[in-house]
Amino acid sequence: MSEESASRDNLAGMKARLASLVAETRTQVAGADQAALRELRVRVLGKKGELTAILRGMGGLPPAERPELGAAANAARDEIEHLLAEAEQRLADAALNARLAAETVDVTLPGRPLALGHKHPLLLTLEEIERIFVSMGFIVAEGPEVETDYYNFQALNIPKDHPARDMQDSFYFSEEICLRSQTSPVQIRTMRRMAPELPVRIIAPGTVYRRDDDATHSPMFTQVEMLVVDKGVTMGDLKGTLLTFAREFFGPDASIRLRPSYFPFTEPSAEVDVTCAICHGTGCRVCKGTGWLEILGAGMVHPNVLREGGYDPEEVTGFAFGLGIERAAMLKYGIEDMRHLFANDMRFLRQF
Amino acid sequence: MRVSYEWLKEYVPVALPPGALAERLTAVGVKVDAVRDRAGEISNCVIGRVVATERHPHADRLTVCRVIAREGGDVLTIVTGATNVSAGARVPVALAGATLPGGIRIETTDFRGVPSAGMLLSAPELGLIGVYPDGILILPDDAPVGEDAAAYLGLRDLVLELDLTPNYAHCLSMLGVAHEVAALSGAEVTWPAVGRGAASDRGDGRGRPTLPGETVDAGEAGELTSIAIEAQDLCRRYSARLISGLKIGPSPLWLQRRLEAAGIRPINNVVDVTNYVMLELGQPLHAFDYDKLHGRRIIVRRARPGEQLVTLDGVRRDLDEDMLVIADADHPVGLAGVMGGQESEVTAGTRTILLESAIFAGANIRRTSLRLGLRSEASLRFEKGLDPNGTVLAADRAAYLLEQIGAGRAVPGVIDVYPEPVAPRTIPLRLSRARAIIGLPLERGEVAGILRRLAFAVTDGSEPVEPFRGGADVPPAPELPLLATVPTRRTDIEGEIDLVEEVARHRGYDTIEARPISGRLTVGGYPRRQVLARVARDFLVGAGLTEIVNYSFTDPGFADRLALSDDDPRRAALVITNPLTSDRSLMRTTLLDSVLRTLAYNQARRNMDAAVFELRPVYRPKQLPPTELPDEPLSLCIALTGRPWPEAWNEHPSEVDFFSIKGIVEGLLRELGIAGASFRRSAEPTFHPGRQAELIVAGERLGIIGEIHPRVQENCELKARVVAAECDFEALIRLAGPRVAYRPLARTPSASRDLALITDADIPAAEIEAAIRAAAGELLETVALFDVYQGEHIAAGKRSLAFTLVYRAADRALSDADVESVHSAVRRALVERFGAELRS
Repeated sequence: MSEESASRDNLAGMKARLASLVAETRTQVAGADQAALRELRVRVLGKKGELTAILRGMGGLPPAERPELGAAANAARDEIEHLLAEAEQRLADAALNARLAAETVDVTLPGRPLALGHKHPLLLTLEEIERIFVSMGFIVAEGPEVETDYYNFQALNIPKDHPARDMQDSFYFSEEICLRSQTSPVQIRTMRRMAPELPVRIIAPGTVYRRDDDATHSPMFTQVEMLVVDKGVTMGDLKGTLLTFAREFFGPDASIRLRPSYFPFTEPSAEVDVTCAICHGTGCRVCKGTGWLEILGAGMVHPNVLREGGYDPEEVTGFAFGLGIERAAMLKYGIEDMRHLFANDMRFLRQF
Repeated sequence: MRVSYEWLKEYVPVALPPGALAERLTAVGVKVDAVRDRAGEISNCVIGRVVATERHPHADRLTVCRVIAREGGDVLTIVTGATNVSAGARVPVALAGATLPGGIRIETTDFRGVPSAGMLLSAPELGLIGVYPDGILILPDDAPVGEDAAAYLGLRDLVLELDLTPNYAHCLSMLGVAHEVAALSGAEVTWPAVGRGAASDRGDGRGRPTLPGETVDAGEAGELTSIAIEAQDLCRRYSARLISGLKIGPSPLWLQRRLEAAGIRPINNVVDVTNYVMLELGQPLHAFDYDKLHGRRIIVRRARPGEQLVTLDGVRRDLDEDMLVIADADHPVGLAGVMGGQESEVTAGTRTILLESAIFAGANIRRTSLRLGLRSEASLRFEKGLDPNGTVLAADRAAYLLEQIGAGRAVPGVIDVYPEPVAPRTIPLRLSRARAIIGLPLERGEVAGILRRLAFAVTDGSEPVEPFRGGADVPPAPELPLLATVPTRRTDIEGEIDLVEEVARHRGYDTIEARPISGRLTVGGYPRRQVLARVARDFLVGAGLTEIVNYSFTDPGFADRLALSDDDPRRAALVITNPLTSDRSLMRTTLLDSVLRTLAYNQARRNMDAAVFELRPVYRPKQLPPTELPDEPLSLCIALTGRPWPEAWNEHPSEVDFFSIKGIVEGLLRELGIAGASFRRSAEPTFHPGRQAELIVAGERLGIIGEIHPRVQENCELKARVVAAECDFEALIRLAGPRVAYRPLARTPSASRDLALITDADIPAAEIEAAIRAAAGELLETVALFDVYQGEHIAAGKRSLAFTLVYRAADRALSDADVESVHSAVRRALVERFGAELRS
């Protein structure tokens, strides 16, 4: 039947049929669902579909007209393919959008939490200080906490029955063995290990113990000892090193102030103040209105100590400081009570 | 040391106001802690004159006084409860609106119908701590009515509170501070009066330290008493004077007020003068009742075994040969430099005293005073060192003052025993060293000037000496040093470096320029121990644990709390001989006890969930008591309790168990690059018998993990189960290897097979896994346990385990037949070895 009609058609008629097939398809894709589209595709483009049916009539055309019909048919096929693809895409988009809409969450609900641990503020502070000095070429050194009276005192120019022993009351295990009351014994141990090598540049963090227990003193606390021994180092180098440290640790605006003081193992000795980290020098409760905080003791290594360490005090000079980490941590984080540092209350530790 | 600003001006002109003076002194090392205004709180208190008194109409114990507070002013009515006020008396009056020490405010008050326009004041109400008669403070008849009472009483004075370092003994006296002030301004120091003709008089009636070698005339005093020093190593010098015809009584007001300014309570004229001279010159004095000295003489000697002395505080003390005593002909009458004896104490009836002005060895005084717990202003000064040439001056000054205040008559002559006189030391100072230490291009004249202002005599040396070689610029040729002669009161100056310090502090630390560190470039770094401790801490914190820091101390109960066996080496802990408290008397041998107590502390504060670790040393003595230093290995303790992992609205974490702690330890070992760890059932009494294991690496036991035994949990007052681990971190450091061991990615395909089997429940999974590996050989790439089941469908005492095995050959794709062959071998081996029933 169709063959007959095709054979009846001339070129114009066949082109008209192609045009109407495209127009029909255009009408039918609108509103079609996935199934209707599949069906439409088979009906129009399938092997037994309407387009094929039209093309079958091509044989009835004069050969000269065939290419023109061929071109028209290809154009119609492309158009129909495009219409179908467009409709399919539209449907896919709609389906995806519907799914996405259904999957909406309340973005204000809390995220799935990770287990986060916390370093102890003392260790955080210590790591920071070590980092600063290691970056300046210092080596981290260690020494025992249980020390001999010799290393803790005598080698540091503090003989037995010396009034300077009052500056720190120590715990003893026997006449000669005690808990170190300062990290300074590491100075002697390190110098003895290194002498006569120069320069000595060490930083020695460690736990120390004194017989004190009140609101501002803990029987156990942490110190960092710094020691430089070299040819030609002066109090100017000490000040420069302290200033570099203070600016790295407390901020670029920090400045330092040295006041004469006394430690048996340094001479001249100094008490070192740094610009108050809380008020930046304008005066506040923490610095008692002075704008300065006393943070460490320092000085030029005493000749007797250099000698004990195996260096000739006529050939070298040295400088050293001792810094209390608890106080530094309290200033850095604004901790109001030293006892928090050793109570290990989770509510405290989880803040770091 | 408290320094009255007004008193200080007696010895040196002070141009600076007190605040500025305090700053300058602090800047040269004489640290001023505070400047306190003695009368700061006193206002509106004047000198009044009582014109009439009458009995209160309604109260027997009250007196109504008519007082004028200003000559020609109104007559005020003031009610007092005191009974020592009569017409004509001049008294301090707090007017309405006045303030007194302690923040007390005085207002017009009604006393049973009589309004009182203020209050008559007693000495304590004005903050005076001296000896005053009870009742209202009656002032001398010439006290100017209407004037500020605080000013009249010398309370309008500022006191500099010094916080002196132990080397600043020379500033434990008004004169010492005056010398530092003089060094600041270049002014001259005015020495105190001793009266013309005194041994220490230098022609102007003012005393100076005597010169070594100068002999002092014992005079009349020498006929009345004698002194012998037997223990010359402990007593360098003993000088004494006698004061006779004594009338013991209160000191004059001016003297009392000065002692009060220094924080010393006035007692009587003799004691007050000795204290006054100690404050003024630094030399402690002691007064013995001369008539109570047997044989009327003094012997300075070591105590004899068995001797006793009742000290001034009434305590009978056993003496020994380490103690220096002052004895009379028969027995000790005082502990030298520490405390006098009760028997020879000055009392109201004392007529003659022997004034002791001596130099005792500091170390000995320190030992004795510490042993007896008797530290005083005097003993502190002896400990730190005194001018050996100042004893006669101090004795003369006290004698002079006692005469001046009419307390008695100084017997002429000073008895002075000084076997080896101390001459001022002359110390060479090289400019090269001063420059090399201080870091300033100091000039010779400037250095000499600073030392001269400090009263050092400075000359140029005549012999060139080697320059200091430790500086950056070593002078090429020998240099002439400065020679500084040090006053003997400066016992702290012993060598060149001490002179350098004097120069530095008076030149000013603030004048030294900060220099960035220079010298050879060095590579900074950490020791391996610290590197690995950081790796571990970072890992554990990353895994959600919180770091804790406990005291290194523990108490003797720790071992029993942990139920340690009797022969457990951790029972051997170092014992502190002088602990602060018994619960901090031992050094930890394990961290576990403190960590468990940390959890208990938190549980008691409703922190039921915690995951913590502590990485600190433990202390392992080599012998007890120790004769050598103990080992201090780092120990790592981890503990978990409750549900420490965060809870979310859509997920509920389970409670921690044995496998939580095991997973953390396994992860840490991986992070530290330690392979080949195994866990073996163990039997530590601290832990749950069925839930504990030893960590074994390379045959070495490195630690223990497990659930805490319920009894230990109870001992440590823990409210919930805890799982914990303690590892020898030093061993982990030793075994730690590279964390990364890269292997090229496989190019051949793998084949995976699951295997489920039922065995007796008590066969350890690790044994089965080992058997799988052994049977499969090198084609087996990985084996992983993915299911454990016991219960329904499994016979009692049996359990089902399921593994995934992955096979791979490095050089070819395995065929099904290849895989089947090896997998069958595995299955057969499991059946043969464990009697396993294979489920797949």
